[in-house]
Amino acid sequence: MSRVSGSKEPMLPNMMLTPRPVVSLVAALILLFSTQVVPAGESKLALTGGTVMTVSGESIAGGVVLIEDGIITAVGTAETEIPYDAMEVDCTGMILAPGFVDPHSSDGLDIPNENLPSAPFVDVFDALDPSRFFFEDSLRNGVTSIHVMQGNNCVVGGVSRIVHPIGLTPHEMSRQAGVALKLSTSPRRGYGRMRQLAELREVFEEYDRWRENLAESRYEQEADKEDDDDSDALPPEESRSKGQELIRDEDLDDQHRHLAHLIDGRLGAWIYCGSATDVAPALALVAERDWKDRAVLVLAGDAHLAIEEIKEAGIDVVLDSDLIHRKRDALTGDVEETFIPDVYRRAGVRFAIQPSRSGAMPERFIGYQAARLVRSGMAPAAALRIVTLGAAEICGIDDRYGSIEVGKIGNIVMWTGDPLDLNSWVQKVFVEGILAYDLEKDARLERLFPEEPEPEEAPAPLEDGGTSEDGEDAKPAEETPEKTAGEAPAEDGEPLEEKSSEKGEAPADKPADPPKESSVAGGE
Amino acid sequence: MRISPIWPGILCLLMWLPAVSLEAADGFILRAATIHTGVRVIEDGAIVVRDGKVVEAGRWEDLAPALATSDLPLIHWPDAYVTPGWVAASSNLVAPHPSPESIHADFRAADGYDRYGDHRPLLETGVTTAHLSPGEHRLLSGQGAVVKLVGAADQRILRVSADLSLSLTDAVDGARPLLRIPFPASSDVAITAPTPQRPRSRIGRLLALSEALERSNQDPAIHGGLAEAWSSGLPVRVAASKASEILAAISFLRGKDRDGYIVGGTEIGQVAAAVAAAGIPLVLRIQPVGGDVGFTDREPVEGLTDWPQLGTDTLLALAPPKDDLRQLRWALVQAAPHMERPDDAIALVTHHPARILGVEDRVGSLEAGADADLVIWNEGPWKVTAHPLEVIADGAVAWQPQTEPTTVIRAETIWLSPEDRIDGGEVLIEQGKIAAVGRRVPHPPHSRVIDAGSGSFLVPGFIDSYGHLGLRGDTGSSGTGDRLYRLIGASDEPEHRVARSGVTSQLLTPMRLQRGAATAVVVKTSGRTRSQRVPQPVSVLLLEASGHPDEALGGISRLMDQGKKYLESWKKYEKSLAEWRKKKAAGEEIEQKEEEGEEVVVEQQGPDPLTGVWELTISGGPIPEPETAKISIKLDGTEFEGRVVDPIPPFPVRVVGTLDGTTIEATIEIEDGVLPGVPKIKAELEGEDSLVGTISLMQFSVDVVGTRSSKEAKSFKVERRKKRDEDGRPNAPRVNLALEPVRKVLEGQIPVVVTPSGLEVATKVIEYFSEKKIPLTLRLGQEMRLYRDLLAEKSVSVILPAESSFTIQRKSFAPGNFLSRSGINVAFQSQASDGARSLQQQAMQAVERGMSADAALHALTGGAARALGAADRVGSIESGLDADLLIWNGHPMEAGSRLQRVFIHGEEVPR
Repeated sequence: MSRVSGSKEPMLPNMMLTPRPVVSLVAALILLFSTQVVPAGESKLALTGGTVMTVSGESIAGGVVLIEDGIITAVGTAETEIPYDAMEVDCTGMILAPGFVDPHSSDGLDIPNENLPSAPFVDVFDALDPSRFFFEDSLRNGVTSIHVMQGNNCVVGGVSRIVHPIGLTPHEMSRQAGVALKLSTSPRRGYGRMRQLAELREVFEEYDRWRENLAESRYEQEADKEDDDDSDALPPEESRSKGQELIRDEDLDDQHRHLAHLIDGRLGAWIYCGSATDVAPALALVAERDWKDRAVLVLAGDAHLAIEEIKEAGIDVVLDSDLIHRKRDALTGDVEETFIPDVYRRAGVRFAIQPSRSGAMPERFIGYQAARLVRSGMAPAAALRIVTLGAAEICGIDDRYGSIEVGKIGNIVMWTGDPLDLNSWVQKVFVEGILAYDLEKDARLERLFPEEPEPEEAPAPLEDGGTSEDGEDAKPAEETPEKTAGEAPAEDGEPLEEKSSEKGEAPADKPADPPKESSVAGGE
Repeated sequence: MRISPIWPGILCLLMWLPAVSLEAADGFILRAATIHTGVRVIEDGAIVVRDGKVVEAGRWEDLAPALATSDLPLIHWPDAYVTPGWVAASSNLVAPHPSPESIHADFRAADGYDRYGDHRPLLETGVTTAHLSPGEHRLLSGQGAVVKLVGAADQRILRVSADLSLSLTDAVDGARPLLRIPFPASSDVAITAPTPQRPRSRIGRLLALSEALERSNQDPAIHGGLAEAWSSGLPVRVAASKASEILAAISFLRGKDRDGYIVGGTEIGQVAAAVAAAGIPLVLRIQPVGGDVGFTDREPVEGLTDWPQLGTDTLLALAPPKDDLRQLRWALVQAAPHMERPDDAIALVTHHPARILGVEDRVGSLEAGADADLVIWNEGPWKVTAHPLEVIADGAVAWQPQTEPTTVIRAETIWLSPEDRIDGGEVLIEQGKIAAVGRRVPHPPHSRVIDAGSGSFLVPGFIDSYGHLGLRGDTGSSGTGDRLYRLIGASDEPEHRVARSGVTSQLLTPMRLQRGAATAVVVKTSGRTRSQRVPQPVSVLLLEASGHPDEALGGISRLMDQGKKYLESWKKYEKSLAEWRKKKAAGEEIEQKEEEGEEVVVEQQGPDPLTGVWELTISGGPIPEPETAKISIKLDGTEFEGRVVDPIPPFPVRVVGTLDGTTIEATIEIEDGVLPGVPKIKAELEGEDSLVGTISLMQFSVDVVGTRSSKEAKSFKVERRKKRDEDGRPNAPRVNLALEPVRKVLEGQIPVVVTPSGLEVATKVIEYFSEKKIPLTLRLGQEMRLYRDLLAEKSVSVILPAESSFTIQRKSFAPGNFLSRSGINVAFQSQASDGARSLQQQAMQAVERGMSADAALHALTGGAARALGAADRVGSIESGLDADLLIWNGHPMEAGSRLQRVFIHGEEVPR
C-alpha cells in the first residue's frame, strides 16, 4: 500500500472509514488476477457492433473484429463471418480503438534508475514490479503496451522491454525483451556535462578496447586450433581485424553483452537530452556509431530549440510529458510559451508523447496529452495515431501493436466515446483477446465514486441502442458475486455475453457518458 | 464598424508617404569618433561590415569617397568609442568538472557550454568571446575551449579543443583517492581500496605530471587518453599564481618544449623578468587588493601591487578577477594607467587574448576579415564611467541597454548667463530634460557621453520671439479662440533648416490678428509628434493697439472686461464647488434649491452662408475613386464647427475653422496619433450652397466639392443646463474658448504681447497692464526711444524690431544696444517662417551696433524666454528645463564661431 501514488492519497481516509476495505481490496485483486491466470490462446473473440477506429485505415461503423489466440484475424464490416464458436461481445454504441502505446516509462520499475552511472548490463526485467498500481492505472486509461525503460538519470542505462500491463510475474507481463538501451547526454545528478560526456565516451572507448583484445585473443585461439606452429603469428593490428568476425555470442561477457548488441544492431539507442545543448553530442554519437535507424531522442526542457539539428538528422523523438515550455527573456523578462509538439509537427519530425509520471492528474492520462495535440491544431485522427501506431513505430513494434489490423496483437480498448474525448471512459480492455479490464468491475473506481453519478436528464429514447447497463437495480447484487467469485476467464465470457444481450434489450443511461454523445463521437 | 469614406482617402494618403524603411541590408557602415581595431586606433574611423565580417577599416575621410555609392546603410555614432568584442581569456561560464581524477585529459570544457543558453546579459560587459576552462582545481583537468557568447548554436564554439588545462596552484594538492567500483561487485569481485591520487604536495606536482605522461605512453587509455591529447600538440595552459609556481610553469614548458601560456600571476611582479625572458605569454588575473577571503578552500588572494615590467615582447592579456566577466572592465581600468597610452590597454582584452587563445583570425580585432563583433562604448572603456551603448555580434545587434537613454554633454565652457559660466563642465540630460549641470555630473549607466572637445561652448537653444514657421504660407487671420498648435505636426524640412541654425523654439504667431487679438504658442523646431513640439496649447495672448491714444485701448479693455467676467464666473464656481465638497465631506444635507435651469440656446441667426448639412465629394490625389461624406456645420460668427454625420466615423471627427468672407479655412480634428498631421480644408464658397476647395494632409492634397443639402444644421443637442446637478453639485460654467486665453492672462499664467502703433499708444498700454500687474511684452519700432525710462521702470520686455538700427534726425541709434544697456529685457524676432534661421545674424548685427555679446546671447535665449513667459521651460541651462542646447566652437556672438551640434529635447537634430 505504501506504493499508492500521491494522487490516491485522498482516498485513504475514506477507506479507513469503510468497514470493509480489506475485503474490497482483495476483491479487486482477485478480479484483476482472475483474467490473467490463464494464458492467452484457445479462444476466439468477436467484437461486434462497435465503431472500429483501426488507426491504420478508415474507421468502420458497426464493424467486427475477430481475435483468435490473441491475434486479430479479421477486421471488417458487419457482414464479416463470425465463427460459430467465437465468444461474441456486443459493442454497439461503443468505439473500439487500439490500446494506447506508452512509448517510454520507468513507472513499472521498483526504482527508475540504477545507482551505477554506467550500467549497460542491467535489464529492466529484473526491476519489473507487477504489483505496481501503475499497471492497473494503465489499463484503466486504455494503455495496453508499455515500453518499460530505465530512467534518464544515468550515463548508460539498461535494456528496455515491451510489457503488457497484466500478469502476476515479470515473465507473464513481458512481450518483447531487449528493445533498446538507454543513454543520456544530459548530466546525471551530481555530474556536470563535462563529466557526463567524458564518461559516455569512455564507456564506448572501453568497449572498443575490450573488443579489440577479444578479437585478438579469438584469432589466436583459432590460429592455435588450426596449427600448432606459431611461426606465422600476425601483428596485433591484423589479428585484431581478422579476429572481429570470429567473435561469437558466447564470447561476450556479461559486462559488454548489451553494448555489443547495441553496436551490432540488435538494440536500439534511446538517448536522453534534457536540453537543446545536449542534442548535438547525442547526434554526434549516433552519427559516429551509425545508429541512425534505431536511435530515438528522449527530449525534455528546451530541447526543441535544436529542432533544425534533429530534423537534419532525421531521428524520431519522444517528448517529455510537459508539453509547454516557458522561457523568460534574459533582458526583458518577457515569458514566451511554446507548445512543444507543434514545433516538431511543423518541422515534420516524427514524435511520440508520454503521459506525465508525477504531474497534474489529467496529464497522467495519455489520451489527455493527445487531446492537447488536437487543441494545438492537429487532426484528431493524427493525434490518435501519435499515441498508438506512431508510438509503436518509434518503439519498433508497429508490426504487432498500434492499430487494429489483421495479424496484430488483439489489444483493443472499448471506449464509450471518442478516445480523445475527456467525457469518454474506458469500458473494457482486451489484451491479446482477453478481457483485462471492465469498468463495471473496477473496484477501485467504485470506491472513488461510491455513488452512481446523477443520471442525465433525458435518458429515455435512444436511437442506436444504449450500451450501458442497469447499474442501479438488481444488477450490482448480481455482479458482486461474480467479481468476488474470481472465475476463470473462460467462464467470465458467459456473464459478459449475458450482459451484452441485456444491454441490447434494456438500454439505459450510462454513468459517465450519455449514449447520445457516444453515438455522435462514433459517427465521426 | 463602418468606415467613413474620408478614411479610405486619408489612409490612401498615408500609403503614399515616402517609404522610409531601409531594405534589409546584409551589412552596414559604422562611423564613430574613435575606433580601436584591437591593433590600431583610428580617429573618426569607419568600418564596413558585410555578411557578418569586417570588410574594411580605416579613416572615414579615406573610406568615404569609395563608400559614397555603397548600398549599405551608414550608422554614425559621432561620440562613441568602438572596440572589438572583448575576448575574456578566462571565464567562469563552465563550472569545474566534478570528477575526482587528478589527471584526466578527456574533460572537455566545450561539453559544458550551453550552446543554446541566453548569455545576452553578459554582453553588457563588452565580452563577446570567452575561454572556457575545465577547471583549475586538478593537476590536469582537461581541455579548454573558446566560444562566443551569442550567435547560432552551431556557430558559437570557435575552438572545441583550445588547450590542455594544467594547474600548479595549491588547489590541486590532496585530491581524494579514486574509487572504482568493479563490475559486478559481488562476493567474488571485491571492491578494492581506493587508489590514492597525486600530487600530495607542491613538490610532487611536476613529478606526478611527468610520470603520468610517461605512463600514458605505455597505456594510451589511462588518464582519459592523455597520450593522444598530449601528442596532438595542443598548447598548454598553466595556472600559476605564486612566484614559485610561475617559475615551475616556465621550467615545465621549457623542459617539455611545449607551446603554452601562464594564467594567474598574482606574484608576477617578482618573476616578471623570468617570464619576459622565456617569452611565454601571460594571462594576468588582477585580483582586487585584499579580495574576498570568504569560506573557500583557496588561499586569500592578494592584489597586484606592482605592474609587471614584462617588456613589449611578452604577450599579455587580462583575465577578470574570479573569472567573473563582469569584472573584466574593472581589470582594464586598473591596467590602463600603467600603459603608455590608455588606448593601449584595449589590446589586452581584445587582440592579445585572441592571439593567446589562437582565435585571432576571427575575433579580437576589427581589421578586414575578422568577425564583426564590436562594442560601441559611450567613451573610452578604461574610464570608470564607461558603458556599452550597443553590442554587435556577427554584424547583428546583440545587446542594447534597456534603460532610458541618457546623455552627458561635456564642454569646455557652459554659458549659463551673461554673468555666469562653467569652465570644463558637464550637463546630464534625462528624458529630454536637463537633469544636472556642473563640473562633474552623475553618469548613469549606458549614458551617451558627448565630449564637445576643446574650445566648445554650450549655450541654450535660441528662441525666436515672433515668427510664422509652420503656418506654411497660411495668411489667414486668427482669433483668441483659435488654437494655432493644431497646425503643428511632426517637424519637416523648413523646421529642420531653422533648427539647424540654432533656433530651437519659436513663438508661432498668426499672420493677421482677428479683431486685434489672437493667441500664439511657443513651438519647438524639431520633434516627432505635436505633443513633443508644443508643450502647452497657448503661450501668450497677442494684442494690437492702434489709433488715437484714447481709443486705441478700447478693444483691449473690452476683451479684458469680458475675460474678467468669465474669470469671475469660474471663480464663483470653484468657490461653490469647494463649499459643496466641504459640505459633502461633512455629510451635510445639501439644500436643493429650486433653481431655474439656465437655458442656453444657440443663437439662431438669419440664414447664413455655411450653417447646414453639406455633402462633400472628395476626389483626385491618391484617392482612386471619389468618396462622399456629409458634414453638418454650424456657423457662429466667423467661426464654425461641424461633424461628419454620414457615414458615422469610428470616432468623433470634428471640423473646426473660420469663415472669412467666402474663404473657408478649417482643420479636421481627429484623435492624436491616427494621422501624421492635421488635415486642412481650404475652400471658397461659390455662389449659394456650394463650395470648392482642397483638403490637404502634409504634402498631399485632394479636391473637394460640396453642396449644401439642408440649411438646418443637425443640432448637437441643446441642453438645458442647470446650475446644480441632482446631488447639489454646482455645474461648471460653459467653457468659452475665445476667453480662455484672457482668463489665463488675468490669472497671471501667460503674458501679453502687444503691438502698439501710433503716438503715445505704448504709454497707455504700459499703464493699463502694469496697473493690472499683467506681465507685458511690447513689440516696438523706433518709437521705443521715447519710452526707455518707462519700460525700465515698469520692467516691460521688448521684442526688438528686425532693423538693427534707425537713423533719426541724422543720428543713428541701435535699439538693442539702446535698451539692453538700460537693463530692459529684450528679445529678437524674425517675423518670418524659415527665415528664422537668420536670427543669429540679426543678433550679430546688434552686437556690431554696440550691444554686448553676452547681452545679445541673453536676448536670444533667457531674455526671449522671459519675454514669452516660458523661462520655466526653455532659455537657460538649468536642471529641470528642456534640454535644448547648442554646441558652438566658440562664443556664438564672436566672428568665426560655428554652430556644431543642436539638441532639442535632448535629441540631436541631424545634419
